[in-house]
Amino acid sequence: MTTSSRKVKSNQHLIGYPQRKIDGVEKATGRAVYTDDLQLPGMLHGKILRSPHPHARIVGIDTSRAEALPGVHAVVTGRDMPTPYGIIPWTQDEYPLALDRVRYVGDGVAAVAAVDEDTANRALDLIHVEYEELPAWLDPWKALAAKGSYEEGHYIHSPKKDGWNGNVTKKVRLEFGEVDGLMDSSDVVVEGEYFFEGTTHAAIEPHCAIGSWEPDGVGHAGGTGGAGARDPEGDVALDPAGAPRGGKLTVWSSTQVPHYLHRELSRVLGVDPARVRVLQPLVGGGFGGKSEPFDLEFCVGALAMKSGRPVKILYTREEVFYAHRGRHPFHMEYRTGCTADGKLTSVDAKILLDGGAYASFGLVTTYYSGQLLCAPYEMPAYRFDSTRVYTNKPACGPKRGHGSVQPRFAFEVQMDKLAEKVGMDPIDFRRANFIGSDTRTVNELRITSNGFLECLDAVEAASGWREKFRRMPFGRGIGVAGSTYISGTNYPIYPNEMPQSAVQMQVDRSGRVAVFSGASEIGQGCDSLVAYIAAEELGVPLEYVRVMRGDTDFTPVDLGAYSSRVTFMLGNAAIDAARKLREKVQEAVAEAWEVKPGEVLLAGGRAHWAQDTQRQMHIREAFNLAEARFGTLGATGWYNTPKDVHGEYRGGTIGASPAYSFTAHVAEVEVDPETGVVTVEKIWVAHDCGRALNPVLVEGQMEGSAYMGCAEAIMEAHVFKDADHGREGLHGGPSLLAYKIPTSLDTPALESLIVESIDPEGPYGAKEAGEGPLHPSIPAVANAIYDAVGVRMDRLPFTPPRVWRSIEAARGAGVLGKPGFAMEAGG
Amino acid sequence: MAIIRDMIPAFDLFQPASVEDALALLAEHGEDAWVLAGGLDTFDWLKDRIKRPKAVVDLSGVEELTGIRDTGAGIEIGAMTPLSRVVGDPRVRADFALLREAAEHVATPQIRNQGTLGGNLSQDTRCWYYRSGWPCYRAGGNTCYASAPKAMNREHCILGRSRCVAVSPSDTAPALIALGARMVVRRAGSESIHEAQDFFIGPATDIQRMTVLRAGDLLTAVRIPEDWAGARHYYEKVRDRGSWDFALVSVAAAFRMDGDTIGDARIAVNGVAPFPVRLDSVERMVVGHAPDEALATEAGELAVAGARPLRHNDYKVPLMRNLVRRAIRSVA
Amino acid sequence: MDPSTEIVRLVVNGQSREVGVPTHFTLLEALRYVLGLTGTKQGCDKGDCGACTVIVDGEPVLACLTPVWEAEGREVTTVEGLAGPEGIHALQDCFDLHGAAQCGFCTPGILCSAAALLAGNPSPTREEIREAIAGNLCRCTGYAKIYDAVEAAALRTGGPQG
Repeated sequence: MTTSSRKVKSNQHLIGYPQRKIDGVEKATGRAVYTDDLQLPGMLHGKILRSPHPHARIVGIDTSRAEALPGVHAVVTGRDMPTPYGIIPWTQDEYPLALDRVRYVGDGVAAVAAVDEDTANRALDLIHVEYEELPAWLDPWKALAAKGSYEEGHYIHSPKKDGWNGNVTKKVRLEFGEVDGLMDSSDVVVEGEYFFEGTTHAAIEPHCAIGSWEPDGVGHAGGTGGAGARDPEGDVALDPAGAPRGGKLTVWSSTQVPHYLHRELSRVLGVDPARVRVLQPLVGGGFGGKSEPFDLEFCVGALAMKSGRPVKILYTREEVFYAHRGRHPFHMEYRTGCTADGKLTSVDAKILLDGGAYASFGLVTTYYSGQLLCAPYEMPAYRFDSTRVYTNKPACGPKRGHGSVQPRFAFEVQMDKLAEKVGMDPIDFRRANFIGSDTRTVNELRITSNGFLECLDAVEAASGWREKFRRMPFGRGIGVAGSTYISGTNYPIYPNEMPQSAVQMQVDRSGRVAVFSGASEIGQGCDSLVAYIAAEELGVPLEYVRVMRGDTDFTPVDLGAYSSRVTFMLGNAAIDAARKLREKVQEAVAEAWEVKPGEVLLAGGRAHWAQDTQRQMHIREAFNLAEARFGTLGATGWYNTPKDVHGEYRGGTIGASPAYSFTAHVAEVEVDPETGVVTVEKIWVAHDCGRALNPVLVEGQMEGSAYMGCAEAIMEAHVFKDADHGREGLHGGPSLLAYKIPTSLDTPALESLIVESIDPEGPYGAKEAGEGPLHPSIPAVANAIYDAVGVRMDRLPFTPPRVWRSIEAARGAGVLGKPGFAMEAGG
Repeated sequence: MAIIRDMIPAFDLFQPASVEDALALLAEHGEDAWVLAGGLDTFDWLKDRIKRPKAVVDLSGVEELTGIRDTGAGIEIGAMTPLSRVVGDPRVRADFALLREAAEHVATPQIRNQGTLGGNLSQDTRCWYYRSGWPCYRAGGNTCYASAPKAMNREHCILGRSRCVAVSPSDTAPALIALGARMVVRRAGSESIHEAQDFFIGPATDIQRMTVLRAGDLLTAVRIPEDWAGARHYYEKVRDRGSWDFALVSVAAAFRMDGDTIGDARIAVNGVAPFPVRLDSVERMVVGHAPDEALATEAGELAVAGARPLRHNDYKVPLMRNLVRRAIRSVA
Repeated sequence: MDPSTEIVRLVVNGQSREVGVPTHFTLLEALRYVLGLTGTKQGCDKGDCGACTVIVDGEPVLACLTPVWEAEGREVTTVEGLAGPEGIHALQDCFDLHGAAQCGFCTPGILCSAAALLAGNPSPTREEIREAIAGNLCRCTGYAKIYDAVEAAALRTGGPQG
């Protein structure tokens, strides 16, 4: 195990060394193409009419005046797409456009396509929607307590069973070990109540989609087509005049999940999946905010089918805020016990998730709120009781660190409180509870490699922890926190036994390697990753590799960029494909040289004989030998997750991952006790990513994660207006001015410390790096504030007014001041 | 909601080349005219389609409105002078560094390149309700949404409310008040000069305007007299982020020292009232005294006397108190 | 011709073009949808993110808040115009080398802010770089690699250091 200082260069290898990205120059010159950069001939502009009410029945929609407006080519409403959808197959509770009820301010009710944006806007004004307002449920506690009927608006969704509360998406209660007994016998028990405010992704690229319908797009018009041409499991779907007989639907989208989009477009629009093509231009940031289908993708499809012309919809920034699917607000209660010598005994959590109007990924979020807490510390007993409720606000979903960032905040503050009570340094306290490697968690998740102790060592040393903790003057503080995260999930979103990721690779006589990858490049560098692997394994220079991507017509299925699955799964798939080809090349060269295949090395653009590397040939020549020997050279490679490692209980598959990453942060802050302004000076980020395949990209993920976590700690709050003057459910400020995300001047100095534990199953030993390093930022800042001024911040975000009020309360109670040095204060 | 537009509606564009032409256009179009300076405030309004002027009078072609010149008795800054030019001007830097600091704290580098001094002074309030098109008093309606019991009013005022609780957003305004600046306002056939603090008006005077400017009026220049040239000064702006954001509270102060005591002082704060507030009583209290901690504390207390916070902005009271304290401490 | 359309002469990346655009178009709309220069991005269209930053007469400005007629006759440089005859700008190469562009959507705007900075201040401090890009939101990088890239470019092209 190593904490690496960055390696510089190798003549033979790419993996493990800093590399440029294959799309870096494109992105730095403005040539990179994103969805809104595309213009198709005859393209129309689409706009979506949105509900002004948080909860209302749609009594009627009159689109006739809009349809009559010159320049308007098509208008669609919910009736045109009456098939429910949703990313999780068991909770499909939304429609592309609302059918009979709107459930949040911003819910789409109709869409138009017109010759230009101005005309589309005017057409929206001409659509008349008659609403009957229903009670709005904005407070999750009230939604949970609601009684009555769906019809009268007491429930946001129809209850799954009679007598159930239609405002509950999911309840999960799981218990492992003797929670109550061990709690009662604990020497120390800490209780805490925490609130995590919702936050949103705020990727700089707004969602955009373009739809195009070719009535005879794949030839054989009238073949197997017709309105019946739909997925056999699909519901009754759209049947616009003349379509979709033999046609072809093409949708370009800024999605993170082209495969799921492909499936849902086919199902909802009633087009045979073999006649649907999804293209994914480069994506301008996702962070989970583009990881399920959105209304605009269905609308461009339906409008294109109806108008016969390509249609583009680009969300305004305001629409992006209403589309949301960001981090759920969590109300959390924790009880945590430990022994006098600092060993955790029992953890008990009760969580209410405020889910917004639709389920989205909420079923998974509810499980993740508990399942992902059981490392890196050993817990003899653990219980969580989580409930997700619907409210009349934009739906929450996955944001970087899906479902586990909120409980991690609460739990790591609990850890800090316990350490103080037993008189231990909080880093030592965490060490004392380390779960170890090659083990199982209390909820039966399998841990393989684990570099958490090295992460703690790294941040402790780099931050000067021993000289600073409890020793800096009043107003300055330092805090620590740890975490774990999954490298993808063992079980895909819809049950199937097929590979989770695959690539196809071919080499040709020029020496070039073409990689066909269905993975979703959202800035993290996965297109570059497959190129590095192809170059590493086949010994070609990086510039000989072409990555063909972003098109479901010719790339194999990858499930998408979510749950930190890409490096692990795509990496293994790419290695699989490359090694199949490499073996053939080695064998052909070995035959020519009359040596053993294992003695043929492919590196640096040449084939070498291991016994005497002077004996070599150009890689092109090697490829030609192989092609002559085996025929045209191509291979598919794939990866599927282990299906035999999970908890043996209902829900035990959720949270199961082939490998877990580990992270520790130290944050240093300055708190102005007069104003409550918290300045995060620096965050030291140590992350066990297994192996850093390209350290530049790993550091980029670590820094970006720590930044985003820090932002949630000190400023971000995705909030809604309540019942003032009947306009409840309005977004608190749907702009990048009102919703604060940090500028360069607000972002702390970030120091990345890569820890490599070399995972046995990861590609070259790699694990995830894109989400794990976000988690500890928030509790580390909270714990640092406590070290600075002795005030516990249990509600997010730590904005100046809130911190100032806490300081004032402490001042009033006569307890404001630096906490005592733990080692002296403790017993 | 349902403002999902972000496209500027069509309008008649006028591009006068002289102040005279501009004034004639403003006189001709009256209430239908909209004065366009740097465009930062304007395009926000127009893209949301909350305000839909028929005639836009773009001042970018009026050269006489741009530039900084020495008048012999101080400097005169044309209203269309970009903020970044104000920041970079050697004379401003040397003698009126308080204005430089304030202008440097406006928004972002790009917005300082585009935004003008006149625009920064004349911009409308940022009250969320008002800017979202709610029919509040300021918009001609008959209620104030921001002072309703459950309203979101973290950014709103603690002083000087009168039906409306919005605050003045200008960063340069308190600096110009502290420097004793005067605003030159012209309309067809006449010119008037206003003390900086009188240029801004509260809702008690007229709830639909932030300044003395009426239809037909044009702010053409800001004159800064020599009085406070080279004075010691203090500027601080507290905001949520290090750039972009408007002040939660800001303070601008100029001091003349008389040995160890304060000989003269002018102090203004913004972000606390519908207009930038000059703290006359604090000024009177501190003059003639040594700026020690006791004086600073007393000044802070006096500054917030009478403050009436709303539901979510009580934190502004200590913020303002502390900024005034720090201003006094700065000359200790 | 549509009465709301005007012919405007734009000088973009050294080339003079006359284009017919609606008078209420912004420079951003004209660049992206009329001239086809899609390197400049729209992130918010309200001046709140900096993604549309271009250089006008040497200064970074927001194209989404610049009416197209105000750009008439002025020198506009977009990300597509940063490269010189000898190849891409040192900043562009250093952004690539240092991993300063992740999703790449804020990159063109940040490059314009940084290029304007280096043109006037060939050896900026890290603090000056921070200030210069304080009007450009990046959601991916935490800005760290962007500072590295601008510093590296300054070292490569800048005047005497220190």
